[in-house]
Amino acid sequence: MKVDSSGSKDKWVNDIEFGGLLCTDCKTLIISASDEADCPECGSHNIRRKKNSLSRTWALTLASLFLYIPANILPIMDVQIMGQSSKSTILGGVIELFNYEMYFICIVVFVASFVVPVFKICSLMYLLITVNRKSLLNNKQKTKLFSLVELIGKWSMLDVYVVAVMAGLINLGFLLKTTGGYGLIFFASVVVLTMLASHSFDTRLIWDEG
Amino acid sequence: MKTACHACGVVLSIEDDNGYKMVCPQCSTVLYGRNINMFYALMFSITSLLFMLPAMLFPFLEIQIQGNRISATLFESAKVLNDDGLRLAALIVICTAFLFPLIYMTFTAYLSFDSIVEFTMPLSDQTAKVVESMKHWQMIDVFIIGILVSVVKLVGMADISLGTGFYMLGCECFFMILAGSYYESRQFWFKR
Ligand SMILES: [Zn+2]
Ligand SMILES: [Zn+2]
Repeated sequence: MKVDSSGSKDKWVNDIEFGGLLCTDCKTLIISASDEADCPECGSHNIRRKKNSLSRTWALTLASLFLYIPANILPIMDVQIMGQSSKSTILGGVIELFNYEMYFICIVVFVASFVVPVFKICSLMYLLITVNRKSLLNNKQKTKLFSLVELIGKWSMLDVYVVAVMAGLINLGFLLKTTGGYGLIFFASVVVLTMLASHSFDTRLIWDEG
Repeated sequence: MKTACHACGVVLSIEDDNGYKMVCPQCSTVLYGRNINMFYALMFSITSLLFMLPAMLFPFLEIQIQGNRISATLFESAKVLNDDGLRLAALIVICTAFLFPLIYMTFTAYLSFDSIVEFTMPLSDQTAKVVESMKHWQMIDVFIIGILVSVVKLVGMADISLGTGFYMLGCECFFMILAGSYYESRQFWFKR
């Protein structure tokens, strides 16, 4: 497959300058002066850039930032042994694993439930602030950063599954019982919201001029 | 055919479609995948679907505490969460570990079949859009790692062993990734 750009090597021509917009379904470049058009090849309706991309991404990112606070303060799991309950938060669970000297699993859980969500929220805010501004990272690196955010997105759901598995399994009534805590709902919502935020971000806005 | 990069908007022309990997010259995003083969996509998605039912019905973990033998399936775990008042968490678990993978693989099989046969299946246009979003929202792989983390957490506490359901989940996930790697929605639209 030969690929060539319509412009010279130094300056690529984008869809706006070309007077077209991309059909996200069949990948045809629709020639159209307006921002919205129906694809002549497959008939699906397309818009040039994701609708209200920046404000939507801002709203979802900020919402997940706020929900991240109760997600970390409230317990996500409650283990009751003979009626005696011991609740643990996300970071509390990580510290517990560290104390039990389960270092490998401790790192896995710490990365999935703490590093990944924080990294996602920070990266999205960085991308939103610097979207068409000069910054430390160039456009190519920013696009790479975004695909990394998309790639790791779902892995922070790990702790939600761990609690679900433990609660489903360790259920012996009074003797020994594991239940999920309300922090779990907030934490799962954070994961879902950050995923929605990254899906509503349009990386083409990084490359657009002005 | 003229197209544009979905990540940076640069206009490109493709001379022909021979199934090679195509990378954007401006932002190096991978535009079109590797080996595309809709027949393989059909076979592997059906295989994945076959493992799906036993993966849900057989327990993925079995544990022995003080003479009590307990096992858990995905539905039982979700039900416990639901009974504890965490309905939203239960819903997210059921959707991402069961419903979305099911829709993802069913629709992949449907569309692969559509692109192989001469005629056009009903509602295939709408189905094609759903597949692309389900790809991000299926979390069988995360669920599998979650089970393994739980095993490590419990291993000192009780006599624990992986159940049949776990291996079924593993197979389901493996064939799902294979099917996804051979599937390319562009192939389906090209037939039009
Ligand atoms: Zn189209
Ligand atoms: Zn590009």
